Amino acid sequence: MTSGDNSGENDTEPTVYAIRLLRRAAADIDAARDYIFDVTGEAIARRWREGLYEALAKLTRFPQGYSVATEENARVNEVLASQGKPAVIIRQTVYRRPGSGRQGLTYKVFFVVKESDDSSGGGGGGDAPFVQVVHVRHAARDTFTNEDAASLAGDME
Amino acid sequence: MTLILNLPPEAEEQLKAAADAAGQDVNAYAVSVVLRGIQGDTQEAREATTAILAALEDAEAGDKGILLSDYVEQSRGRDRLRDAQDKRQQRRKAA
Repeated sequence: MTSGDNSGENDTEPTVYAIRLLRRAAADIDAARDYIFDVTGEAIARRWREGLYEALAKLTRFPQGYSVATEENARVNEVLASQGKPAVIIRQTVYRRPGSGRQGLTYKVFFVVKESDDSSGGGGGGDAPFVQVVHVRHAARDTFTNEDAASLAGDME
Repeated sequence: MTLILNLPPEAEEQLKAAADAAGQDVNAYAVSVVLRGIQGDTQEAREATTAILAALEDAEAGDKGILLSDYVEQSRGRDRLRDAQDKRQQRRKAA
């Protein structure tokens, strides 16, 4: 699912990016899962998380095709520029459970595409290209409400 | 709508530098700046930015992250552990 191979032996094959979750991003997922568990129970929390894994696994192919997180990207780079650090491109994908049309059930995954391990971006997997997941957050609202939980449970039935 | 602005040279340079730093075309970046000015700061974007910067700092400090496949395996392992504990508790209650 998350092979770090560059598939360089065949130029016609698209590059397969490894997916790496930074410690804080993994903690984001754990916290979201725990919260959903608290309000909906184990089964739904697991299904939510498995769906998120599937969404993350899609980033192995053409991660550059995902949209730039315009506002966050601009803000992050303003700070990095002020610190004299190299720019990064923050991209995002949106994880919405199938059947849930409400924004309250939407999570954003922010990531950086690394074509190779470099000194400015922390570790990767040797020279293999990888996707560095930096943050996962519930979108559009500050908190996940009981109404969201009820809707999520309904979607998953 | 097309907006034509006469920017002072210094502001023009700042705009170009900021767009370049953000990895965006200068026009697209200018649009985002205007939108932010109109819409104001959003709490969500501020919080996301803070979290992203913290994660990037961790990476710079040596956080290599965990492969998704390893993370998935670990979390499923925790699930199996919880399941086993639940079953043990249920058996104790039944006994």
